[in-house]
Amino acid sequence: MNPEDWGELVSLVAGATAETLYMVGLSGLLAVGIGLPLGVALFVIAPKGLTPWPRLHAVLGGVVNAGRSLPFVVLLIAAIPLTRLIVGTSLGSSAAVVPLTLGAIPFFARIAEAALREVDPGRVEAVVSMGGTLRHLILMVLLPEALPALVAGITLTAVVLVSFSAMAGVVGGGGLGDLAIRYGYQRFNTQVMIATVVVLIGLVQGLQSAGDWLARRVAHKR
Amino acid sequence: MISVEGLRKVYRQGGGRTAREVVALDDVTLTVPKGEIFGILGRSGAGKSTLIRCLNLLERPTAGRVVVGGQDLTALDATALRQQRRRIGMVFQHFHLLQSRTVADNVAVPLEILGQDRAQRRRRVAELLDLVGLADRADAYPGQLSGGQKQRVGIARALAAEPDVLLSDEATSALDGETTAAILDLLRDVNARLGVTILMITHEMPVVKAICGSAALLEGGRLVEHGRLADLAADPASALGRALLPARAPMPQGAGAGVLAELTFVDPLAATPLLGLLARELSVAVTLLGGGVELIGGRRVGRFQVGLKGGGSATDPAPILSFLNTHGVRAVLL
Repeated sequence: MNPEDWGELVSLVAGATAETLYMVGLSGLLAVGIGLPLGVALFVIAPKGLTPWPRLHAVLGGVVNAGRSLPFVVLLIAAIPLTRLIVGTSLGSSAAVVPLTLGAIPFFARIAEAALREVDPGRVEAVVSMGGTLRHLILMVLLPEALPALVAGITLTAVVLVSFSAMAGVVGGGGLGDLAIRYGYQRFNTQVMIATVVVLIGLVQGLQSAGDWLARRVAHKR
Repeated sequence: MISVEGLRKVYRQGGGRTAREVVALDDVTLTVPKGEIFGILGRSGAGKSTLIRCLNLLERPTAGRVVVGGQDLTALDATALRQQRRRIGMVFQHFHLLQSRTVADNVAVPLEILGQDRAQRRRRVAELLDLVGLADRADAYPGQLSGGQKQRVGIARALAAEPDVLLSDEATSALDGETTAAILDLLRDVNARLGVTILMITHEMPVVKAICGSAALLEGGRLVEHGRLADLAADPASALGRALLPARAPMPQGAGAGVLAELTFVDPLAATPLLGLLARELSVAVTLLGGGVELIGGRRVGRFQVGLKGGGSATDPAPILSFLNTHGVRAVLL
């Protein structure tokens, strides 16, 4: 392999990495921003929750389960009309963010719900006994007490999004997965294939280590 | 201050056809005067926890009224109930401190709920930490504290909003003996200094004996007796009274001591030279077989086992007992 090829390889992989980071970062932020309130709602309105609302809980739970039961590649296609409505086009990295977000919202909502369920109900009850409102319970007890588990959940969601984003090539979203398929699989370019795998592994390792470090840090003080 | 009328709590256990009803509290009626330290004793499963949780409606009673500070809690809507709860502090067996907050921030929780500003909160938290002797641990996290320290934080937190009533749910049951004594001292101190009415449930008689003025016994969801501690102790028929005084020493069988009886005295009678009087007036020889005097609910209560022997060959206990009873001593034959 000559130096020119090396340069091209680096710029290819760097561009794809940037696309992946963009898609994972934006959809991750959106998924947490929407999935967290959804998870809190699922926890709070559960039949034995703080303010039970069984009907709405059943509906929300059903929607979340439906979202989780779709294979991502199907969601990617099925979401095209919505993507067009929001982004204006169904092609490119920004367009891929819509299905990625849609896929990650129910995933993170369930993780958040499970994290809240791990909070000792006695601590919630203590604040109820002080006359705390639902807002107090959520902001003073549930979220802060569940923070280490929530951070771990965010890490997990980011890693899953890296994996989902590999399919973004289907809608011309680019990214590392797309690069691996186009160059490594369709053009038998082993160098690109290897480089992609290495960067993906490094990326996931980095995300996991950063997440673990943060979770330890928020749990450490207690 | 606290008045409970006809309180009943029924749980449904299981579901569908196998569902059955469990009566946790059955027609409990109880009054706790202002400034009192009132103990509710019972074995586990007697309904103690359900009872105390009904007092701030953490548990909604199936029937009956809960009146705290003149306000019937069972009649309030959610907003009004929250307002009333802010006047009732609660201390828990397992502390239930927020792990994500420092000691100072835990104590500040009720103040944040009241909407106090930062400066107000800081002042009040400093006062409270002084009161419970933890001023130097303000910035520690609950995970760094011992059990006794955690309970002090729990007490400071419960007192933060200056409640009229403190509910203590087995506050010392997770602590060792020495720490228990220190926490009880703190509760007594809080009661004396702030005039807070304290209602505590416990399965430990020594806890009641140490700080309560009155007590009640809960058995199978029913309140079987209640009253001032000294009165209970003076009543030979009272199960609580029995438990308050030292166990009876084994009695000698048929020895020459005569008729065996148990005498219970309460202040100021405990000081009366009654046994001498008995010997002089009825010519009865009194043999002391066992017993003692204890300070219970602020009064001295004595209970003695004695042998009574009259002049004749067979002692007739009836005149002796009636003599003792007219002098205010409760005497029963053993």
